[in-house]
Amino acid sequence: MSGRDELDRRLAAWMTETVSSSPPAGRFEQAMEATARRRPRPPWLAAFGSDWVGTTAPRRLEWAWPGLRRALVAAAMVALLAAAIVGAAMVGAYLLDHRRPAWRLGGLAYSVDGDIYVASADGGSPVLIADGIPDSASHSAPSYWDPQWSPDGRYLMYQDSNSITQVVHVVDPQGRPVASFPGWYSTWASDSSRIATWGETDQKLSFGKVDVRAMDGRLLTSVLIPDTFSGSGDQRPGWLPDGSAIVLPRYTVAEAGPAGLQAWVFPINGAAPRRLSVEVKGYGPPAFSPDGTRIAIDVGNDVFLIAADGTEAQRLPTKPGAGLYTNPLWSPGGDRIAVTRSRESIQVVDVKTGTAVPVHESSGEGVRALNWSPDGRTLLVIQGDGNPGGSSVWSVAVDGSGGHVVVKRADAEGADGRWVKEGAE
Amino acid sequence: MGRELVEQAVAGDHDAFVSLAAVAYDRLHGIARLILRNEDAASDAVQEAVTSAWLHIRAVRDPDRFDAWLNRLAVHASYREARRRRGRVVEIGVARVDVPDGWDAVGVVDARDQLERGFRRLNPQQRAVLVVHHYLELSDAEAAAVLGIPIGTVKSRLNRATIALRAAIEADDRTPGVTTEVPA
Repeated sequence: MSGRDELDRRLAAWMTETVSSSPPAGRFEQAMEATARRRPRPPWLAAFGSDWVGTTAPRRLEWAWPGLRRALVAAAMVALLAAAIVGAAMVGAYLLDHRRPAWRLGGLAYSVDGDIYVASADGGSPVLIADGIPDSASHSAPSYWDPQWSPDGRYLMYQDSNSITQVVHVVDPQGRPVASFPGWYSTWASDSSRIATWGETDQKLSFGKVDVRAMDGRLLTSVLIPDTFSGSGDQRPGWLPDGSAIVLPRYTVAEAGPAGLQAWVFPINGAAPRRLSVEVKGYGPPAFSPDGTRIAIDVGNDVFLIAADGTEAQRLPTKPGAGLYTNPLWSPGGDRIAVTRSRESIQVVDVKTGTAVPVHESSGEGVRALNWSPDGRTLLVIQGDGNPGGSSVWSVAVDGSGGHVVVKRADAEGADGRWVKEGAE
Repeated sequence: MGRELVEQAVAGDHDAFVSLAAVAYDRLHGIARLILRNEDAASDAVQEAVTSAWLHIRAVRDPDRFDAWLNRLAVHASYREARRRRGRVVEIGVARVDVPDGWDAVGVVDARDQLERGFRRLNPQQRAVLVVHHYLELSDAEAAAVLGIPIGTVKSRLNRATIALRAAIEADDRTPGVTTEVPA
């Protein structure tokens, strides 16, 4: 027998002898008790951390540092968890974005040469519903102008300036008359049930009161406007988003540069008017956020956001390039503001992050008005067409895609989109 | 060990698992005791091994290899226990020795102590390869599966462990009374 065989024999005997004694009493029961308190891991997780003999897992890697495997598994789990959270957030954002019903451009109304036309969404099949005289012929305002669809798209309102007495007409989409009443520079309430318009005193246009009328023309109330608001007739009377009050800007005289601008509300229940905001040097008019808590005002080279209670004023977080900023307009969701830079470039700015997305360039023709679709996905842009007083109407998605002309020729600021819910028509 | 019992345990039957563990416990404890040379450490390692076996029981797909899997868990639990106890004071338990009548009791004890001292001077990996080879009497392939190393490594590690053990014993012969234990 070789020395090695002898050592092997002795070793085997020694080992058998060494382990012949029983394990310490109670340790088996203790171990089983420890297992009884726990449950086996599910099959997909059971492979982790076990040693692979007899399992479905592949041959186990030899790790230089055994803790590394645990660390990698933990890191993978954390990564999976993070991915799950991010995924859930993205799904949530998607659902939030699509919670609002989709709206589409159901039609257009526009004025050209003193006439009012109603057309399909692509500008086709125009129907003349008011035949008037262009301003160049009358040397005053055009006969018919300022068409405005009600927010629900059911009615169209337009201005009649054929005589000294200013009249507002309300018609249905086919042009059939619904109501007519004295008024000037009118605005629909957000629920489409009422109209605010500068009223008439002694059969003359007055900037001393704002009439609130029902959609059928009935006078609901008149809100008296103090003389100190003289000149405010150049502004449309706005509505608080909840429809409880009329909003008007008040300008204070400035030697140079923008005037001081205050936002005032006049409750339609007759309560005393109150000033909403701190005074800022701006041009206005004040644009209320949909929830009524903030006001956006252009102050020339910036847009300011002002808390409606006047407690806070701040710049719009991101200034997307130098230039003059005009016409801030809140999205229906209140999370973005469309602004026009240097009258040519439209940017949509995320109010929280300040991220600005370029949406449209008017190619030097000048942006005159904007209009958000109710779902916040499309902008209607009215821009100059190169002719004095003329404009064209564009539709563009808020990500800047799909911009196209829908009306080639209209009066300046004389067009409005009729938005309808998907599937409604 | 019955396949049926293993399948019941895999299905989550704790009683079946206890039955399997009861049969295997002495063997697992022997493996750990030989590698760690410490009763408490061995008990802790086996407890960790059987707990791990229960937690991961649903990963078992081949009931015929359940024993080999348990052996492997015990070996690796012993490695981990050895690392945890590195640097601690090692309490060496004294195994009971039954010596047949007529044997040279002193010689047997001397030989056993010599092996004990030599074995202590090996590292846990060398002890483990000797344990699976001489105590469990596994083939090289089976030993490779239990130790989680290639067959060639089993052979070379076994060879080196045997040489190291022989060298340790010879050194012990030359310097009686001096024992140097390799930290676990």
